[in-house]
Amino acid sequence: MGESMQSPFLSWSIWASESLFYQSIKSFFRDMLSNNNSRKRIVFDSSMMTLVLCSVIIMILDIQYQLGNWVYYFEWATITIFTLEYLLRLWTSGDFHSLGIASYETAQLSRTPVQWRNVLKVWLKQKWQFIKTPLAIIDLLAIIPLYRPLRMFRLFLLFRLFKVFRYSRTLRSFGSIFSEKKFELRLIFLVLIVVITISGVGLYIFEGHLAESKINSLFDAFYWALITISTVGYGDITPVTIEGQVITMILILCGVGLIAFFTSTLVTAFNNQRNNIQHDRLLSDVEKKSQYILVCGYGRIGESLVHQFKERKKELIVVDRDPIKIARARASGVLAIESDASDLTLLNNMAVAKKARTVLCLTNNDVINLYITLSIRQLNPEAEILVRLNDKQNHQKMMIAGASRVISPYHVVATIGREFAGQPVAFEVIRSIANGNEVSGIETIPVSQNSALDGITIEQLALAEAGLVLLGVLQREADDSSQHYIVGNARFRFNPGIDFQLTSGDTLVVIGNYQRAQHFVLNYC
Amino acid sequence: MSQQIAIFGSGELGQTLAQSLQDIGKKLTLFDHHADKVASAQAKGFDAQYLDFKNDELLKKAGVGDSLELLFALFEDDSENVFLCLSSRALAPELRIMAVSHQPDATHRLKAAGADKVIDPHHLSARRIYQIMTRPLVAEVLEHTIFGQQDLELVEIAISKDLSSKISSIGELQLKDFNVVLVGYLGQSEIIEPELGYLSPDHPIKAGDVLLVVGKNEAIEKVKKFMDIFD
Repeated sequence: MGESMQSPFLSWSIWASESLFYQSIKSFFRDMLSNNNSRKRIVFDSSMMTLVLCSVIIMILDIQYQLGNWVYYFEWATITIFTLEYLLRLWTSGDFHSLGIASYETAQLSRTPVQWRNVLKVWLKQKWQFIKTPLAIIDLLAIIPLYRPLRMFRLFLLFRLFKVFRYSRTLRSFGSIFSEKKFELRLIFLVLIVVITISGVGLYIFEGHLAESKINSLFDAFYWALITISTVGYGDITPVTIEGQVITMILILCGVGLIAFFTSTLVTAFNNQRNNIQHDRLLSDVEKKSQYILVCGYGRIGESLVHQFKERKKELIVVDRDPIKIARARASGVLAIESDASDLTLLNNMAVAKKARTVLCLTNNDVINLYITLSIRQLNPEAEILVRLNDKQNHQKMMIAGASRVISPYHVVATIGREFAGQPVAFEVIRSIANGNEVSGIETIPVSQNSALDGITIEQLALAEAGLVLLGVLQREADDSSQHYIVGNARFRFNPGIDFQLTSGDTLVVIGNYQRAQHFVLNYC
Repeated sequence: MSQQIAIFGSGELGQTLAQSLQDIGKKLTLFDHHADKVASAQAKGFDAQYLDFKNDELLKKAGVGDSLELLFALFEDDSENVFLCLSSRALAPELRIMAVSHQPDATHRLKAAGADKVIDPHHLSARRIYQIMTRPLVAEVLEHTIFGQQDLELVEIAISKDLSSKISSIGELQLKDFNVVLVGYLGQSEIIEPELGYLSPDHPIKAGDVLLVVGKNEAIEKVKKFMDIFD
């Protein structure tokens, strides 16, 4: 290969990494096949699972009832789809082009020619890694066509059912229990094989030739050994010689030990995985939500807040590090995840960037609150982040970190204390307005376009009849009069005169009770 | 003579409240039985003294049962607050006491011990957050009136005996001229709910009743003066 001619591998790698078309197709399929958070995956998984179940049911019915020729076409269609899926998974399991580019760049730096053979080797190894995963093996076995005459091949039908493990997150986490304890399970399996072989062979030697024994082949002996060691003991084959009985006794003792070991291994693994499984299940609950309110920290404020939500609790997700608090949260009926709220992996899994509408940082530690605020603001520039402020000196820092507003419990106390001191008689009333009782207080009435309120003056507003008092108007765009205050993104015009004209987009702020405000809205808008 | 206010608990909470009260011109003293907290309050310029609240004699010296009109129990320990409320109520049946509770069950005990008003900062913060989340506009507007540092305020104005002899209904006050909004009326004689919202000009006025008014500081001062010299 001359210097002047570019290797086809290189050309391909360059083209593939730069082509938007190639990249977008590949990532589309990757998203659909392997991305836990993608909507496409959920759709794909459900459809595939339906297909699997249908094809198995049809096969089973066909065995019994001979449904007709269409079954044959259906089967071929299914196999084609599964084959396509397998090929797509194979394709998306690694990239030649990224390996190629990386090798090329390294080669440039070290001024050596690129050894494409090595790149190919690595690439093939990637593919092999995929092929030897158990799920991939199942996929492969599931597409071997069923030849009616060969009954054994019907076994492969079962592999179709195993494919379900791929499509269900719950089953996958169940499967991961086994992969975690791979070493122990392999050990047990090995010992089992050895013991069965020895005892099976032993029994065959002693009884295989006897007429009164049910053991006619080595397979029968192995079958018997497994039934015995697993403590099942059908009784269809029993030893008839003393030597046979001795072997049986030893076998049973080994068996009990092995079973115990096996069981305890699984139980430990399951316990270890229980948190992970629960975690995964929680995450899939989170996935189902299109939007949520994130509450970080389930202390007294968090608990009190969740309590206020009542029927709307399902909009909330609570995150806290303390398992006791999480248990309490779940007991009060809200989805709770035990984790560090600043864990980026978790936040990404929860799709905080897209789904978190409002985030509350409520721990009693400003450093932690700040850290969480910053982490979340980085991911989601638009969410409203409300932060508990424990030391008022940190107010500025919280705002810089990205908080939308801070709430300081001490400030709340101080404000109430001030009213208690300054306005003793009105204190309770002011409290009830501030707390937002539904009975009395401040209400807002929006002025929508072309409604009865659009364009009229204050004089024409029949608020008095409705029992309401106008406090002021929140204007979306300010005129340049003097009497306004900045309130959020709007301007609040206090006590406007009777010729003040309303425009759509404004909001009336009135005093009176909720019922009267609703009445007004119904009758006049 | 201005109110004598005592704040027990001169940690951060007490200091925040003290600052808030001083902003409206109240004179107060902070007390604590932890020397470091007293020192920290003094360092910030507050009038703070060391006092063991368990000693009734010392409480009396601080003005309980005498010149003290308002007491705040802001210790971090609920049992200490209960003790303080009980002692103070025994010494001064007319004293207004406000206490802070840290655990939800402490609220009943503080009330039973004699506190007039018990506040749970966590519960209230949670309500505030809930309001910000569900009624953000209202929360914002409130921020600029009741809670705000701006000059718009919600104020109670009492009807003096003098005034009540001169006028018989609200309409005669002509509050419209002052650029304030009358939002509510509290009748002292009734134990019923206060009225909020629109009040008709014929609404009767009695001595001791209270008007709730919203407006700028200066406007409210003018109204008060006007009502004092009404003729």
